Amino acid sequence: MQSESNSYKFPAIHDFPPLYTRQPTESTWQNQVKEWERIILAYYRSQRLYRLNLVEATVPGASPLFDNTKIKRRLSLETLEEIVNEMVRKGLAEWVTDSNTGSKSAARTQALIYWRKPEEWSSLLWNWINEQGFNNSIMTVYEIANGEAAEGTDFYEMDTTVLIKALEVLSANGNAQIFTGTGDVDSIGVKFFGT
Amino acid sequence: MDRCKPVDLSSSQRPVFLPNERLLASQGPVGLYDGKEKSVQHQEGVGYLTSHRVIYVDSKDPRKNSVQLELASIKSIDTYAGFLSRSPKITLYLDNSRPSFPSSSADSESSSSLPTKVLGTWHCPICSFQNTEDLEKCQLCGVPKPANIQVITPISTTSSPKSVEADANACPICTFINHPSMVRCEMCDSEIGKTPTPSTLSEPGNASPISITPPPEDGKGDEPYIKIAFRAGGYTTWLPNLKSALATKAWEQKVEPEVERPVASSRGVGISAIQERIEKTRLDAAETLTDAFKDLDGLMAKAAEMVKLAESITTKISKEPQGSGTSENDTLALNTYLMELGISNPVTRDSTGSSYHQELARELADFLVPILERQGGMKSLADVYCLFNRARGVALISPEDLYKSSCQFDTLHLPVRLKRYESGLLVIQSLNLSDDRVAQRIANHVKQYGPLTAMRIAELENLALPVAVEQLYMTEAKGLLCRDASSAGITFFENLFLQNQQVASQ
Repeated sequence: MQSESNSYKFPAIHDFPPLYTRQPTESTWQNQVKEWERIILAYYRSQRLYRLNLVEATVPGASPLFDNTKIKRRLSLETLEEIVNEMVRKGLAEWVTDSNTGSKSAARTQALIYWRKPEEWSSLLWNWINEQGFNNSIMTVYEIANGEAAEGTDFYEMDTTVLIKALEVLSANGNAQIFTGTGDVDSIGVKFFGT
Repeated sequence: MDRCKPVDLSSSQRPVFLPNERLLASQGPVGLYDGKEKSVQHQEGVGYLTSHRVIYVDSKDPRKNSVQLELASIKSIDTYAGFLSRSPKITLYLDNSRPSFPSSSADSESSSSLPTKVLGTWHCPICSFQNTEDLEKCQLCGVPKPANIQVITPISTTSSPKSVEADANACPICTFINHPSMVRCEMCDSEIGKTPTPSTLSEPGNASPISITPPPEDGKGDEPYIKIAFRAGGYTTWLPNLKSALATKAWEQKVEPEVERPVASSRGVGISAIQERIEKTRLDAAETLTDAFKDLDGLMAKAAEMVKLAESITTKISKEPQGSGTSENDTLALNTYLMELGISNPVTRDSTGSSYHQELARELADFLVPILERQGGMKSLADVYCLFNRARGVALISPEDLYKSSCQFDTLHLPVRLKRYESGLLVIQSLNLSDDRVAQRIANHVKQYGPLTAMRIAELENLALPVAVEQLYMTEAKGLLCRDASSAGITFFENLFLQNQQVASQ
């Protein structure tokens, strides 16, 4: 992973110093957010990343995404939070719900970055199910993401939380049913229906 | 009104003063009456009283309707203190005989010497008696006046009222100079030929009667006159100023150095001597008092001289053919310094009264326009305060007065304006300088030189740092720049965000 991220080439704007300063002018700021969205989504897609821990990401030297050592600029936690907020508003990200309390407001430290939205994932999954002939069979979440059959697909080693969100979309469409297991996330079972 | 002439006005609608002319008072709004009739075109304007002229500058159409009247053509004045809704007025009776624009010197000399004709004296070679000039024989011993005898004129050419008076009261017999109120000589009890004249001219401190010269007996209704109506006060400051201006006759003075008023010699006897002694103790007291302020007076006098010098050098330089030794740059720089120094007729609170801030605003605008043209069109109020007070030399103004008069720019339609930035910084900029133009210029600098700090912009644009910062913020707010805040400070870049967006949307 480390070698991959080193070889990743950021767009030219990534070396533009003002990118790391929160622009006070509203119109400029909106465009700055758009630039960051593009950069983050492209980077996460290429690295197959799903989660963003805001505090960890903005620690010096933690991530080449937010800490540009070449021009000695680093995005601040506050600015990143604003950017992620904007992304959440546009449906490009979602704050991670604390599974224990279920409250979103408590800590906005982690976000899921949707370089594919749950709907897109669900249609991707559904196509794969149909291709593989898993209709009317029951699979665990772990099997889907880490099973042999999933190797080489986009959702191989996918974040479980995102995967469950995609499955929930299928369930809502009536294409699948989710069986909550013993509490372990990986043991959640899914039954896909026929076409 | 046909005696009044049009006035030269500066760009801010202030009258242009002659050399040596001093502004004594100004007042607005005033209106003019031509004789008994209201003069329709001259009903709302600012009146200026200078040592040479009365000037009316119309508020509505200053270029067309403004007029001036030479004080020299005023024969006498009359006043009306106002009653209920009627405003106080000063009536100026004009001299029928003289043209309104005299070739000042020749005309005035004859008129001034006429009433104050002073007889010279000659000393009898036999008995040394001091005879008056018109006597052909010695009054005491009867020896005829030798042809080649020297006639001594007792006082210098500028006739001071006081000496005239003193001489007029000299006893023709014993030459003792009596007090004006005496009818008979205190010494020899002989008649003093002249009856004492109750001259108001000579005693300015007196509670003066209303007119300066007694109104002419021969039907003054025939004489042309102009009335000035004071719609909003100012009458009380004008009257004494006008009187003293008419008495001083500043338009007659060609030589700068003031001739000291000759003091009648004290003899140590008589009522006048006692009065003189009292006067002297009073003067002594006053002198001790003024001693404390002597340095200040000296400074004031020097400053006035400096301004005069600056003006003269400026005119000299402008006359000199270019390229004669001094390089053009030097001349330009010198000119700049001189220009910043010379305001020869500073507006003061005394001279303008209630319209002080308006007048100050006009003067300020006059002063600033050329400076702003040279220096980027914008100056912070603090800078303006320094420059303006340096130019005034003396008669400094307070920051508050500067601010108040700057607030008047808009209402007076002057070619500059006061602008308040969001941070509270106040600047004065010329009207033709819009934010868009400034922003464009700043953006061009960034395009040309790459990322810039406020410091660099201040250098490039020759601006004060706070002004440069404000201009950058303003340009940024327009979306032309974006900032990079690092430990080294804020640097401004071209706004690639917006440009990228435009490329992307295309």
